[in-house]
Amino acid sequence: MSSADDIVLETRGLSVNFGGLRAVDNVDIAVRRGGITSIIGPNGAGKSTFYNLVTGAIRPTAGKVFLEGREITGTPTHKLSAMGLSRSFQITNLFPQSTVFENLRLAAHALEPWSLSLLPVGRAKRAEAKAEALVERFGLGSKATEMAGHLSHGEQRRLEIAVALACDPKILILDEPTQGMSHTDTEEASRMVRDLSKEITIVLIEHDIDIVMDLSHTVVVLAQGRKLAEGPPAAVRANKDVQTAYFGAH
Amino acid sequence: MADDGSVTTSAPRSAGATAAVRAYAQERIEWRALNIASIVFFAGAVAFGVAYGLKGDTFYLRLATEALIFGAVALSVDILLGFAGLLSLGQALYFGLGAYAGALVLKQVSESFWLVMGVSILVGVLSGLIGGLIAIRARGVYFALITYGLAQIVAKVIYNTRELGASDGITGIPIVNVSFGFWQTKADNPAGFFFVVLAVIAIIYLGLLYLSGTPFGRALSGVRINENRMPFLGYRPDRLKLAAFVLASTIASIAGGLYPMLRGFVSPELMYFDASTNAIVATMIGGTGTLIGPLYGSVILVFLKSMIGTITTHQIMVIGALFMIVVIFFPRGLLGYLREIVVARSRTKDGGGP
Ligand SMILES: Nc1ncnc2c1ncn2[C@@H]1O[C@H](COP(=O)(O)OP(=O)(O)OP(=O)(O)O)[C@@H](O)[C@H]1O
Ligand SMILES: [Mg+2]
Repeated sequence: MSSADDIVLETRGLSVNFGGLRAVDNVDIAVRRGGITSIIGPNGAGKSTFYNLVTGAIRPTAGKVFLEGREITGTPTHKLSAMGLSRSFQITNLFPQSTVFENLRLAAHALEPWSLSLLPVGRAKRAEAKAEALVERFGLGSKATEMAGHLSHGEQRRLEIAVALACDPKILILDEPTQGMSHTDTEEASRMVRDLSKEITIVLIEHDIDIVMDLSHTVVVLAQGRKLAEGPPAAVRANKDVQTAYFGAH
Repeated sequence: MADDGSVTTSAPRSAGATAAVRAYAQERIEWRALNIASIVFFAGAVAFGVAYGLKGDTFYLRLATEALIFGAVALSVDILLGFAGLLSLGQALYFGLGAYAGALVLKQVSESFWLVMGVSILVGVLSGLIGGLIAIRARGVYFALITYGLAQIVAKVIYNTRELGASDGITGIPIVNVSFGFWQTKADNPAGFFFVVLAVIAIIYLGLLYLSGTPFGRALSGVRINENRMPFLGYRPDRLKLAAFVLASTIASIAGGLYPMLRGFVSPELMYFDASTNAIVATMIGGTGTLIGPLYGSVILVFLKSMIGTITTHQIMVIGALFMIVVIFFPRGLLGYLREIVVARSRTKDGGGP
């Protein structure tokens, strides 16, 4: 089972400059295996930028990223999902003109061997089975043949996470998965994320501190690109610096 | 899960059918109209070939053969635009290269149909790799402009190359014997050569139809619909686009290889912008992404041009007006429109109950 030094994802001295702005500044984070680690911070704190650095979408100016002890700094994005790192997007990023099933099948097929890609789709049984399982698990069974673009906002957010899971990641990074959701949808999504965290490691990037409090075992606070605090939720909430920087700025 | 209780207008739901089964069933419905249209097309073409062959016609058979050849260029536009979402403004380049390669082979190497086919495939693959590696670095409008530029440059170089006949092109291409073992014909036999070209186009069409139902074809659609998400799933959009580009250039080049057999000459005009836009217009009239649509579009375009040509010299204006009418009233093209009707029908029919 997970021990304190079973680290899945780690950053060391991670930094990036946008012109003069140091959007992420010397951030060291170690994500323990299992459960939910949350990264929070006020608007513009550098959360999404940090996330883009980790997932290979942006190259860091300095610092390194490790996945299960292997350095992945600068690894092209398309290789990361095969290595077990997956992400969902703050702004829903699906294939709107494809059906729900096809969104999942396409995602599940990405890591299949090339030899299957020139046979009829129905022959790739593993991807098909995975897509089926995800459709059911995320309660989209009755919508399987709908265009993804025709789903409600809440359903699209669900599909967004399901698509990110199709590559069987070891670690899933979610950028504000509840953004724009209604209250009931948010509760539903929180429950889903908690369920998922029993199987895989989750890094939850959130703007809203209340959502992460009872979900995560560790909370990291970013402010102005720097790591301000790190620890169990209660301790972080009680931290003076966090209260002035985070709640003060709220 | 919270169900929002909205009405589903999904395809038939037989009790207990898995999501995959239902999704595939729906896809079949979407292709049903197009498959019927393709049977009508090829059956119609065979009937036409037999009837006009028996009549001893030359003019219409040759016009139809040309329409099929240009139809293959339109198909190559459809792979790029309808599958991968790439607008090529220079597809005639690969058609022209195949045509010149075919002409040179026939004149200087051997009067072999099969050798021309082999060489035009090779030329299509190589030129597509080079053109693709240059063009797919750019996106959107820039991609289109690069494909345009490449075609213009090569056309100009050939126009200025004396060894390739410069502005006159290459003429006096010998008449080819086409032998399938059990049956043979000559390129100057209008009905015989029509059937040869029809067979080549049918093979290309069936091959592409098959590809559209493979994970590779689906991944190309993924690139068209949301290229940015693809790397996060583990796909490489650049590789997929290059594969589509090479496939398209090869098909255009094969069509090019057939051209000198039909017309007995090749010239730089084959690579000009006009030729590239004709293929785009045919694709859009017929229906982008439908595969059979571009073949219909090409037949419509070639015959219309010929008919209008006997009435007025302002063909381009009439074609332009037709194009605008189609784009305004049937933005998905004629076959795209037909598909929508059939899909809508099946929904209301199946939505009534199991
Ligand atoms: N590509 C970019 N070029 C220049 N500046 C950028 C770029 N991306 C982000 N920034 C800046 O970097 C800082 C951090 O932005 P980031 O999007 O990471 O914040 P965030 O914590 O995700 O905020 P939010 O809660 O609003 O999502 C902001 O000041 C932003 O304006
Ligand atoms: Mg953000």
